Amino acid sequence: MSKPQFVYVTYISTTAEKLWNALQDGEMTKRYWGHRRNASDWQPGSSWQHRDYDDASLVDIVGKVVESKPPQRLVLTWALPADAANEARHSRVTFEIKPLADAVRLTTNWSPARRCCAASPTAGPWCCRA
Amino acid sequence: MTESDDVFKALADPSRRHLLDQLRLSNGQTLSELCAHLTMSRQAVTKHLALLEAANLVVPVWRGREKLHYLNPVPIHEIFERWIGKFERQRLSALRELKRQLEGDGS
Repeated sequence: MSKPQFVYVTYISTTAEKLWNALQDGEMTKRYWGHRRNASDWQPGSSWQHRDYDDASLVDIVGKVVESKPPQRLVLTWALPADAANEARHSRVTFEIKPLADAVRLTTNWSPARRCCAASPTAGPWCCRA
Repeated sequence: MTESDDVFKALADPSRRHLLDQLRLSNGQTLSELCAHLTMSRQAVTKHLALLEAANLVVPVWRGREKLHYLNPVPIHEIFERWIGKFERQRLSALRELKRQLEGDGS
Protein backbone atom coordinates (compact mmCIF):
# COMPACT_ATOMS: atom_id res chain seq x y z
CA MET A 1 0.00 0.00 0.00
CA SER A 2 1.47 3.32 -1.04
CA LYS A 3 1.61 6.21 1.37
CA PRO A 4 -0.98 8.95 0.76
CA GLN A 5 0.38 12.23 -0.51
CA PHE A 6 -2.24 14.29 1.24
CA VAL A 7 -5.11 13.86 3.64
CA TYR A 8 -7.81 16.49 4.09
CA VAL A 9 -10.34 16.35 6.90
CA THR A 10 -13.47 18.51 6.77
CA TYR A 11 -16.33 18.60 9.24
CA ILE A 12 -19.67 19.33 7.60
CA SER A 13 -23.02 19.89 9.31
CA THR A 14 -25.06 17.50 7.21
CA THR A 15 -25.93 13.82 7.07
CA ALA A 16 -23.79 11.04 5.64
CA GLU A 17 -26.45 10.34 3.00
CA LYS A 18 -26.56 13.95 1.80
CA LEU A 19 -22.78 14.10 1.61
CA TRP A 20 -22.61 10.78 -0.22
CA ASN A 21 -25.12 12.05 -2.78
CA ALA A 22 -23.24 15.33 -3.10
CA LEU A 23 -20.15 13.45 -4.30
CA GLN A 24 -22.12 11.86 -7.12
CA ASP A 25 -25.10 14.02 -8.01
CA GLY A 26 -24.47 16.26 -11.02
CA GLU A 27 -26.70 19.06 -9.72
CA MET A 28 -24.56 19.22 -6.58
CA THR A 29 -21.12 18.79 -8.17
CA LYS A 30 -22.08 21.50 -10.68
CA ARG A 31 -22.23 23.96 -7.78
CA TYR A 32 -18.99 23.16 -5.97
CA TRP A 33 -16.81 21.28 -8.46
CA GLY A 34 -16.11 23.58 -11.40
CA HIS A 35 -19.44 23.16 -13.24
CA ARG A 36 -18.72 19.45 -13.72
CA ARG A 37 -20.66 16.27 -13.14
CA ASN A 38 -19.44 12.81 -12.21
CA ALA A 39 -20.94 10.16 -14.46
CA SER A 40 -21.01 6.52 -13.38
CA ASP A 41 -23.36 3.85 -12.10
CA TRP A 42 -21.09 3.80 -9.00
CA GLN A 43 -20.83 0.01 -8.87
CA PRO A 44 -17.42 -1.43 -7.92
CA GLY A 45 -15.51 -2.13 -11.13
CA SER A 46 -17.48 0.42 -13.17
CA SER A 47 -15.82 3.35 -14.84
CA TRP A 48 -16.51 6.94 -13.89
CA GLN A 49 -15.93 10.24 -15.65
CA HIS A 50 -15.58 13.78 -14.41
CA ARG A 51 -16.93 15.92 -17.22
CA ASP A 52 -18.51 19.19 -18.12
CA TYR A 53 -22.05 19.59 -16.85
CA ASP A 54 -23.42 20.71 -20.21
CA ASP A 55 -21.11 19.09 -22.74
CA ALA A 56 -20.49 15.39 -22.06
CA SER A 57 -17.69 15.33 -24.65
CA LEU A 58 -15.47 17.50 -22.42
CA VAL A 59 -13.98 14.89 -20.09
CA ASP A 60 -11.35 16.00 -17.55
CA ILE A 61 -10.77 12.90 -15.47
CA VAL A 62 -11.50 9.21 -15.94
CA GLY A 63 -11.14 6.20 -13.68
CA LYS A 64 -12.69 3.18 -12.05
CA VAL A 65 -14.85 2.75 -9.00
CA VAL A 66 -12.71 0.57 -6.72
CA GLU A 67 -14.99 0.50 -3.69
CA SER A 68 -18.44 1.88 -3.09
CA LYS A 69 -20.06 1.46 0.32
CA PRO A 70 -22.87 3.99 0.61
CA PRO A 71 -22.81 6.22 2.55
CA GLN A 72 -19.39 5.54 4.09
CA ARG A 73 -16.60 4.92 1.67
CA LEU A 74 -15.94 5.66 -1.98
CA VAL A 75 -12.62 4.76 -3.59
CA LEU A 76 -11.89 5.93 -7.14
CA THR A 77 -8.93 5.70 -9.43
CA TRP A 78 -8.15 8.97 -11.12
CA ALA A 79 -6.40 9.70 -14.42
CA LEU A 80 -6.31 12.03 -17.36
CA PRO A 81 -8.27 10.69 -20.34
CA ALA A 82 -4.97 10.34 -22.25
CA ASP A 83 -3.70 8.01 -19.51
CA ALA A 84 -6.87 5.89 -19.32
CA ALA A 85 -5.12 2.72 -20.49
CA ASN A 86 -1.96 3.27 -18.47
CA GLU A 87 -2.69 2.16 -14.92
CA ALA A 88 0.72 3.18 -13.64
CA ARG A 89 -0.50 6.74 -14.13
CA HIS A 90 -3.71 6.31 -12.17
CA SER A 91 -3.82 7.84 -8.75
CA ARG A 92 -6.35 6.85 -6.14
CA VAL A 93 -8.74 8.97 -4.16
CA THR A 94 -10.57 7.74 -1.07
CA PHE A 95 -13.55 9.57 0.40
CA GLU A 96 -14.47 8.41 3.88
CA ILE A 97 -17.61 9.65 5.57
CA LYS A 98 -18.06 9.21 9.29
CA PRO A 99 -21.25 10.41 10.98
CA LEU A 100 -20.80 12.27 14.28
CA ALA A 101 -23.35 13.63 16.74
CA ASP A 102 -24.37 16.69 14.70
CA ALA A 103 -22.05 16.63 11.69
CA VAL A 104 -20.12 14.29 9.45
CA ARG A 105 -16.40 13.97 9.05
CA LEU A 106 -15.20 13.77 5.45
CA THR A 107 -11.67 12.47 4.97
CA THR A 108 -10.24 12.86 1.48
CA ASN A 109 -7.12 10.86 0.98
CA TRP A 110 -5.08 10.99 -2.21
CA SER A 111 -2.48 8.39 -3.16
CA PRO A 112 -0.28 9.35 -6.06
CA ALA A 113 0.14 7.37 -9.23
CA ARG A 114 3.30 5.32 -9.56
CA ARG A 115 4.18 7.50 -12.54
CA CYS A 116 3.31 11.13 -12.99
CA CYS A 117 0.49 11.99 -15.32
CA ALA A 118 0.90 14.45 -18.17
CA ALA A 119 0.61 18.09 -17.17
CA SER A 120 -2.87 19.45 -17.67
CA PRO A 121 -4.50 22.69 -16.59
CA THR A 122 -7.59 20.80 -15.46
CA ALA A 123 -5.71 18.12 -13.54
CA GLY A 124 -5.31 20.58 -10.68
CA PRO A 125 -4.13 19.43 -7.28
CA TRP A 126 -5.01 15.84 -8.04
CA CYS A 127 -2.19 15.48 -10.50
CA CYS A 128 1.47 15.09 -9.65
CA ARG A 129 3.02 18.22 -8.24
CA ALA A 130 6.48 17.04 -7.34
CA MET B 1 -16.67 29.35 17.13
CA THR B 2 -14.98 26.88 19.42
CA GLU B 3 -13.26 25.04 16.56
CA SER B 4 -11.35 28.13 15.52
CA ASP B 5 -10.39 28.74 19.18
CA ASP B 6 -8.69 25.34 19.12
CA VAL B 7 -6.93 26.19 15.88
CA PHE B 8 -5.60 29.53 17.13
CA LYS B 9 -4.53 28.01 20.43
CA ALA B 10 -2.69 25.24 18.60
CA LEU B 11 -1.01 27.73 16.27
CA ALA B 12 0.02 30.06 19.12
CA ASP B 13 2.95 27.84 20.08
CA PRO B 14 6.20 28.09 18.09
CA SER B 15 7.07 24.41 18.60
CA ARG B 16 3.74 23.37 17.16
CA ARG B 17 4.16 25.70 14.20
CA HIS B 18 7.58 24.16 13.69
CA LEU B 19 6.00 20.68 13.64
CA LEU B 20 3.57 21.88 10.96
CA ASP B 21 6.54 23.27 9.00
CA GLN B 22 8.18 19.85 9.16
CA LEU B 23 5.04 18.20 7.81
CA ARG B 24 4.78 20.83 5.10
CA LEU B 25 8.30 19.85 3.99
CA SER B 26 7.55 16.15 4.11
CA ASN B 27 3.97 15.05 4.69
CA GLY B 28 3.05 11.78 6.38
CA GLN B 29 5.94 11.42 8.85
CA THR B 30 6.07 9.05 11.80
CA LEU B 31 6.79 10.29 15.32
CA SER B 32 10.38 9.03 15.07
CA GLU B 33 10.93 10.82 11.77
CA LEU B 34 9.58 14.05 13.23
CA CYS B 35 11.74 13.71 16.34
CA ALA B 36 14.86 13.25 14.21
CA HIS B 37 14.63 16.90 13.02
CA LEU B 38 13.80 18.43 16.38
CA THR B 39 15.54 19.18 19.63
CA MET B 40 12.34 18.57 21.62
CA SER B 41 11.92 15.39 23.63
CA ARG B 42 9.81 12.61 22.16
CA GLN B 43 7.33 13.19 24.96
CA ALA B 44 6.99 16.88 24.14
CA VAL B 45 6.48 16.12 20.44
CA THR B 46 3.78 13.57 21.33
CA LYS B 47 2.00 16.18 23.47
CA HIS B 48 2.16 18.84 20.75
CA LEU B 49 0.94 16.40 18.10
CA ALA B 50 -2.06 15.49 20.29
CA LEU B 51 -3.03 19.18 20.47
CA LEU B 52 -2.58 19.64 16.73
CA GLU B 53 -4.74 16.57 16.12
CA ALA B 54 -7.43 17.88 18.46
CA ALA B 55 -7.48 21.11 16.42
CA ASN B 56 -7.75 19.10 13.18
CA LEU B 57 -4.47 20.58 11.96
CA VAL B 58 -2.80 17.20 11.92
CA VAL B 59 -4.50 14.00 10.78
CA PRO B 60 -3.15 10.57 11.69
CA VAL B 61 -3.18 7.81 9.08
CA TRP B 62 -2.40 4.27 10.19
CA ARG B 63 -0.34 2.16 7.86
CA GLY B 64 -0.06 -1.20 9.57
CA ARG B 65 1.46 -0.42 12.97
CA GLU B 66 2.93 2.85 11.75
CA LYS B 67 1.17 6.10 12.56
CA LEU B 68 1.77 8.70 9.86
CA HIS B 69 1.05 12.37 10.51
CA TYR B 70 -0.44 14.59 7.81
CA LEU B 71 -0.78 18.35 7.79
CA ASN B 72 -4.48 19.12 7.31
CA PRO B 73 -4.78 22.57 5.67
CA VAL B 74 -8.60 22.70 5.93
CA PRO B 75 -8.86 24.73 9.19
CA ILE B 76 -6.23 27.23 8.01
CA HIS B 77 -8.04 27.51 4.70
CA GLU B 78 -11.20 28.40 6.65
CA ILE B 79 -9.32 31.22 8.37
CA PHE B 80 -8.09 32.35 4.97
CA GLU B 81 -11.60 32.31 3.51
CA ARG B 82 -12.93 34.25 6.47
CA TRP B 83 -10.66 37.24 6.11
CA ILE B 84 -9.45 37.22 2.53
CA GLY B 85 -11.78 38.26 -0.27
CA LYS B 86 -12.13 36.27 -3.45
CA PHE B 87 -10.62 38.96 -5.66
CA GLU B 88 -7.77 39.76 -3.29
CA ARG B 89 -6.13 36.37 -3.74
CA GLN B 90 -4.41 37.09 -7.00
CA ARG B 91 -3.16 40.47 -5.78
CA LEU B 92 -1.91 38.95 -2.53
CA SER B 93 -0.19 36.13 -4.42
CA ALA B 94 1.47 38.71 -6.66
CA LEU B 95 2.70 40.67 -3.63
CA ARG B 96 3.92 37.51 -1.96
CA GLU B 97 5.75 36.49 -5.12
CA LEU B 98 7.28 39.98 -5.38
CA LYS B 99 8.56 39.67 -1.80
CA ARG B 100 9.82 36.15 -2.44
CA GLN B 101 11.67 37.24 -5.56
CA LEU B 102 13.26 40.23 -3.84
CA GLU B 103 14.21 38.29 -0.74
CA GLY B 104 15.68 35.40 -2.68
CA ASP B 105 14.53 32.00 -1.56
CA GLY B 106 12.59 33.26 1.50
CA SER B 107 9.02 32.14 1.91
